[in-house]
Amino acid sequence: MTLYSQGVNQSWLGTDKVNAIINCHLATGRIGKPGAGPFSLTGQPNAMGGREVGGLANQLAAHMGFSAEEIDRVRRFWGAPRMARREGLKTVALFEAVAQGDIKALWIMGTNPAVSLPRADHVRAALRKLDLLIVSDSARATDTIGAGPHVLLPVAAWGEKDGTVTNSERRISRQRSFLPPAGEAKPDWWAVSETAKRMGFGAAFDYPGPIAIFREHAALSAFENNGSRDFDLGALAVLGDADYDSLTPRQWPMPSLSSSEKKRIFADGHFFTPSGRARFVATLKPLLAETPDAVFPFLLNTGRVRDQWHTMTRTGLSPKLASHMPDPFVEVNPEDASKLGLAGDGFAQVRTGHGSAVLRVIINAAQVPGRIFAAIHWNDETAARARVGALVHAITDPHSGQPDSKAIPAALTPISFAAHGFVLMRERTPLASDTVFAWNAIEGGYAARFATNESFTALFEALAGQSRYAERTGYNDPSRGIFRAALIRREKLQAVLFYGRVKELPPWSCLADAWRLERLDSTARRFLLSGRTASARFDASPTICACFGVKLRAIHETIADGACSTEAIGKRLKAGSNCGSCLPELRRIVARAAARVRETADAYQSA
Amino acid sequence: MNAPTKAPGVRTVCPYCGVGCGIVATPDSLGGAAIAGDEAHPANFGRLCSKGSALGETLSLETRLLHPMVDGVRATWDAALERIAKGLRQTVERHGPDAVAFYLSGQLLTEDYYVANKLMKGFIGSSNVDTNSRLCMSSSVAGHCRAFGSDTVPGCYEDLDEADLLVLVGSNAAWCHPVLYQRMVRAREAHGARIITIDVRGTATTENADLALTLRPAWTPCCSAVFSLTWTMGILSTAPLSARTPKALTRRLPERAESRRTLPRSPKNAAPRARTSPLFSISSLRQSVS
Repeated sequence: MTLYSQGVNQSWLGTDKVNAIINCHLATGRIGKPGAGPFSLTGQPNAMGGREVGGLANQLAAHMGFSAEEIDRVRRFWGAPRMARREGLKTVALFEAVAQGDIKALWIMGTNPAVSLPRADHVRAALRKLDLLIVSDSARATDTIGAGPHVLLPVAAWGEKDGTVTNSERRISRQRSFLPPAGEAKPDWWAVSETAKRMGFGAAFDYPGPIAIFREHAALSAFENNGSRDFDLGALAVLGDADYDSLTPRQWPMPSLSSSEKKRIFADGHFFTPSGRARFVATLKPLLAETPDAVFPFLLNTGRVRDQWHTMTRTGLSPKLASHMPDPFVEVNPEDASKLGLAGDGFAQVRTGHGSAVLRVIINAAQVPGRIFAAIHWNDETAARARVGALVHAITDPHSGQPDSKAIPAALTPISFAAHGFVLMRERTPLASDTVFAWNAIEGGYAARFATNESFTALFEALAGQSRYAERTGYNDPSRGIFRAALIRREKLQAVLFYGRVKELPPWSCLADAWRLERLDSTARRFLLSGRTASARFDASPTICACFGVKLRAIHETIADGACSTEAIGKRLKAGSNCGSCLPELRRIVARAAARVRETADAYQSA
Repeated sequence: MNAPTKAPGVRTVCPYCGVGCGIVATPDSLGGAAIAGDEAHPANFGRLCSKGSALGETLSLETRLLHPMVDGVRATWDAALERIAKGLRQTVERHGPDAVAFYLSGQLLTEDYYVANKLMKGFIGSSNVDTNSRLCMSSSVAGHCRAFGSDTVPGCYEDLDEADLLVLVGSNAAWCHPVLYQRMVRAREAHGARIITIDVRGTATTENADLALTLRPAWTPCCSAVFSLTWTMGILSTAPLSARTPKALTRRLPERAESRRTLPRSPKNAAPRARTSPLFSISSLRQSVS
């Protein structure tokens, strides 16, 4: 079984790579059989549902394309007055048409293209040229909303909306609401249908609720199908309201009520090509879209981290998820780092032909020399100068139109700042201009480590401006380069700023206890700007297990106390015993500890 | 594993990746909810990753947009929708339907998606409706369509439990699809399945593989090499080749011979014909590919 993901798809030869994999499975007959097959691991909750309705510009609807027969079939089904006749513009080309002024009105629903698209700075600027920009979002502020939409619509978020999604294995599940909509938020289908009614298409968009839409979607998939198309939900076209409410997760196709669940397709050797046979595809000779040169000698790869998702509009609110990888970073091989004079936890500017970012350096031997890796999540809402999408070139695969986001020629230079520090705030707010930082959700607010060329006063005044009528307290020791201040209102901490040299800085978590207090007591006040904590057991090491909040120091202590496997650690600390996401790291920590023990033993013996 | 869910809750699915894990959400009547994995959901059988487990921390209204805005000013839904309908209609009248576009999201529900697609392709009259899924898996769609004539995922998650060999290509599943990855690891523990990774960098996934192949970024020859290897080792199934693919195409495999030349000649290439056993042995693959 071959499982593949963005390392295959996000390439200008992505389609060829997919077909190279499928070729292997066709050639060996390992497809449609238990335990075999090529398998695309999709990264979104409903990318599959989008593919099913035809939400891509090169699909029409329900796995139909743009042949005259298919256009006519969909036209008759919809009773449509003005059918599209040909494929539309795929994402990168679509936003280029916005930049060129060919597209005048754009409606963005539930996504943040000003962060996620290649050449994201160019895209963000292009959005400002539109005659009409409509953004539907559940969040109040994103980089895309920052482009200034003419109309901004509040939509129901997860937990409030009600409908279906399809996962990577063709399984349709109900996403059900369990909370009332926030404020005036409405479902996306409602906003679109109401717009259609106001455009004069009321009869075709008069949906009382999502079930009516789902039934129509299922009916279209079965319309004049008779086994000619793989996607067929005929059985669900007559689903009653109550059955929709209680629908259990099931895989398509489901042509009729009597058809049994089809876990695997193609077992019968029948494919949906005109001949009924699968096709081998001869792939092109693989080359890089752009090769590194003297100006841009590195290859930048982009991707995700364990505990964040996409542009952090949701995961960025969770304190549990913040501490695994708290800062925007670039991973560099040790040899490259030493050649360039880069220090771990220092900063590097990453520059490509399209943009630049300033990221914290992580030195990692798993990174191949000449290649660097940066995560895609951070943006201007959550950080500063960390928009990695802005670095990506807008080269796409000729068949799929998918951007080549994994191999971009880049330059890497060390960069240093006059001062470092951290800040705690009740709400995310921009810091003074020449400052890099990233907000981490903490209980009751946000914390950010920063590096800056601004003065202490400039930073503090910017914060104080956000928090009026607050009592100020400070502690300065210029000889040691220590500048610390806090804002307190009605006995509760509103903001804390620690500023100075790296080696004089305690971790922000030394203030975690005081930050939680509704009223600062005298002990908390005494310790407030000392950089120490009043509580006896204070652990500032990074969180390894997000589920149970288990930190590195606790794991080391447990190993020292005789736990020498991930299972033993799990038993004692619960770490790794829920989701297992941290098991690879736990394994590494145990292995390192074992290696240290061996070294010590060897040293003892040879002595 | 999560603790068994006893309290009455609402069965739903996680809003993050494409694994589609079932969740039982139990509202706390204060605007929040307790989140647990749904043991009855076949995608995850109760398990959740770190992101899914922390969903309860993301339900506050603090960053939410709570009312429509027109030109930066709070507006009613009616005013906002009027402005949209009028703007779209005028744009189509003045500049034609292709001057209008929708950019949708893999986070929308199928019902949302269906209505937006219908409005654009059947009523506005343009196909300028695309989605952020373009950035995620459109190459898979195109690859499926080229090979199968349809965008069909052939298998299912149960295959992970049954496979003898799991090859992860360009995927850091340990971080990005943790629930499925842990299922693969359990398959290895349960019946000795082997995990091979093919990637351009070291990750939590490659670290824990039985064999990790690190490639240059343009790697297609690797799969062509594996293809060639299957040919050489005799595990290439001629039955599906002739029965499932047109003859003209089976003849057109120029890179087969070419990439075979790039493989080191190894006695292992003449390994026992694996057609009798369901997979070629890891040791022979290790020697042949490395």
